[in-house]
Amino acid sequence: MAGSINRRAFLKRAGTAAAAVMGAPLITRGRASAANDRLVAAVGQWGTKTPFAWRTVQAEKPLWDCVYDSLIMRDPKTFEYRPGLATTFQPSNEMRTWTFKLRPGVKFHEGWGELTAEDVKFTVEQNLKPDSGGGSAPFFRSQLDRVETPDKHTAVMHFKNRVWEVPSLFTQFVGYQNTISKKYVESVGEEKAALHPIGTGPYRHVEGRQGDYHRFEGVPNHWRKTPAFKELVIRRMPEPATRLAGLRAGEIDIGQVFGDYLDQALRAGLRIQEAPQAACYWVILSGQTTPDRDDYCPTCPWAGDPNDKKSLENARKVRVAMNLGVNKKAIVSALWKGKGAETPFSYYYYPFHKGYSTDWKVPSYDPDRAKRLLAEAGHSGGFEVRVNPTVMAYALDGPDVMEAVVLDWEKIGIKAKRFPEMISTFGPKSRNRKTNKTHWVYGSPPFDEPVLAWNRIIHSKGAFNLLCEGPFDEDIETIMKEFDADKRARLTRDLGQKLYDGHYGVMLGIKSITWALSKKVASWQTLAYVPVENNYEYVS
Amino acid sequence: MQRFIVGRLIQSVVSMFVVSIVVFALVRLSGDPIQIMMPAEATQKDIELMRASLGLDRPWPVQYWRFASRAVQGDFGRSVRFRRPAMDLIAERYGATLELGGLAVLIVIVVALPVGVYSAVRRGSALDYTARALAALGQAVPPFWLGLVLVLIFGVLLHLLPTSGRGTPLHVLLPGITLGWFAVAGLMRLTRSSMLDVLGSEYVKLARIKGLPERQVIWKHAFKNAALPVVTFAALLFVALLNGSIIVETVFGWPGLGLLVIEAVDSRDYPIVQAVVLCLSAMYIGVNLLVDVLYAYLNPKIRYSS
Repeated sequence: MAGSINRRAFLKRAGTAAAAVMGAPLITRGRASAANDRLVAAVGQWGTKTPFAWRTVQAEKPLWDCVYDSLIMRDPKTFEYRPGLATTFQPSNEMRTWTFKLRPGVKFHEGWGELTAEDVKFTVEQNLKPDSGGGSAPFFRSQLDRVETPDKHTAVMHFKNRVWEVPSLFTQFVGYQNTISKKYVESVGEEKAALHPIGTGPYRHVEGRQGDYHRFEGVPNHWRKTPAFKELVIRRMPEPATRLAGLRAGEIDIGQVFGDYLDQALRAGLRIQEAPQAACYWVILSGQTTPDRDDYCPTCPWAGDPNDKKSLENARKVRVAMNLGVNKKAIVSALWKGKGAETPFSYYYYPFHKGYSTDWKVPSYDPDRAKRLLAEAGHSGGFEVRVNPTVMAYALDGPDVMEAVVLDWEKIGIKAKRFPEMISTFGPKSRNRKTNKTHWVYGSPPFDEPVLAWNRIIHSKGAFNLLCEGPFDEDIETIMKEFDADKRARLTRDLGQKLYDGHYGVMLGIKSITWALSKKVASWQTLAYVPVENNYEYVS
Repeated sequence: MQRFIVGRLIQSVVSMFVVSIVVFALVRLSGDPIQIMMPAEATQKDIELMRASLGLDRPWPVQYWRFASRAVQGDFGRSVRFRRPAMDLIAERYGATLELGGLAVLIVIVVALPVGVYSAVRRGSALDYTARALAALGQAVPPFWLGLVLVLIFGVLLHLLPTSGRGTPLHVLLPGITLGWFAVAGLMRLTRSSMLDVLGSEYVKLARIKGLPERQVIWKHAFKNAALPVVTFAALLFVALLNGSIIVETVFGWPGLGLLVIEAVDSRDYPIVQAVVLCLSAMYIGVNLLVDVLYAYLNPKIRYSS
């Protein structure tokens, strides 16, 4: 037995092999750390990976906004409008015509020429294509008459009706219109242009892999802000534990942390950046739509039959019960670690909006009353619902919050069946009102006025149905036709009251968004109220 | 031998055919892809046009024929989510999967085989007990936990290795070790038990009586015969590791095929699901075929009994 394979020889060989494997990193490179002129941001989620305004939803913003400039920028602290690519934007003809004067000398990346009015016209007109699914596409399809370009730096948009909300559609946030180079898209085609977007923004896209990472290079002497970091890498890292590990190891400089990971980040000594009161959360109770839609569900306990008053009363009781049955304080304290509040109640009403009221609080936790209401509505035995615990850009903790809601609902007899599906495909289904009556947790971005959001998400002709649609079309149209801002605010508040009283969604409150920062980041001026990564060029 | 190979080849083709039908049917039963392709205000006419352009208005047998005839040419259609050819996306990710799976396989072979053999030869020794304990631990520890612990130690505390992503050769070490760890345990136990069976056999005793050097007895006579079940296990393991691990890829943010396919399932991206499942099935069936042929070559009894 002796000689050929003894313990000493074996240990010696195994030890050498192990040392070679373990020591290789030390020989090749000390450690993988981000270089000093490179900023690495880890983003939990981005959407369908298209940079195009006419196709995109807000989920793309943390990835692509750095490549573009908006016609209208915002003051990061007050959220007010500031000149962007457009130096002025003026209405005429009773707000039926809007004239944008463009900043001269702004260049597209990689030599694709100067930004001109033709590029603005081209971008806007893409919304008119029948397969454009962008958030603003329905507005342009229904309102835009034509776009004229009297000179190189003037774009004149003519609308069919008086429209006061036009500037909002072209703002840094939440406007959807990333102005693209007409010449570039026409030269390489939409498919290739989507993989390598060309804009005028402070960062130029260098390369990337869909669903993995994208690398950008700072544009020297940018007209607005030359980035402090020469290189920006945005990585998609859905797993929060991995993001935190990267932050602690110094490989990542910016990463959203929440829940237990926020505590761990604090314990690890990482600096935390907060966007207070940034995302309104609620549970979308699908099925509250118009009869011509697939999701229409007059028999759903929470939706009711619009032709039957008693059924609608019972449905409201059920929705109130679904609100009362959820322990929101527990969500705020346990899941959000106190980084949230009961007001505003939800549905896009932010503290900076006119008409905002601190009296609208999320309904208190009262499971006993919830059970009584369910019994009154004829559902003492409870009922079954479908839920999608999905992660969306504004609600990275969507699955956790959905689970908390579901566990509370089960205590009052509402049983949930979980159908997990990514937002990249569930979102389009939701837009098409084909979710099969599936509830999900939504976190909202801020709009200039709540009615601009409601016009998209409550009006039956809007791009989305994120609450209920049908009953308030007239109210929304009345507000949209009101050109006096104060009167509009009063009408908005009245409709806000109706939405609050109707309990159309399960109001959860508002969440502050928290990011952990590496030591490399001295400051980062993010946009107030905005719940996703933005303004990378303002990281110093 | 030729007849044996032809028989196995026919079986493989039939298996692929069955798999393709199952994949085709299951994907279509999971929902209508048109729902996520069209904007909200699309008219019925637009929807019908899109359905016709994708061939989804045809009867299922026609759709299957179209799908299968294109699939053999590597055309699985365009990803619903990424709006790109499914095969392009798979090709883009396959390098990462090969890299990760390759390292895991290397670790498995370098560690599991010698330790398994040594444990058998030195049965009852301290190293045997240690190796068996580690094997039990290796199979009991969940990969996500092991991955996080390795990240914490080597990435966060020691700052020796990157915690996630892909780029330098260093990036693959932690996910490779995590992925390989479980397989090391399995293969080591199998090698050890196979070796124990063989070491007690008459021909090994005869080899020793003849005075052959111990090294020759173990590696030439015992290991070769003990290797048959190990080869089968290792071949399938190789495919399994190449296919990547969803959990390891998620923990380490590794941009491989596993992550792509799980997200494709989540997002009902049926061209990607079909392409990945068929490619992986083809690999499994192909490796099985190879193993069968290898077996028949090594052991004529199998050839003749078939």
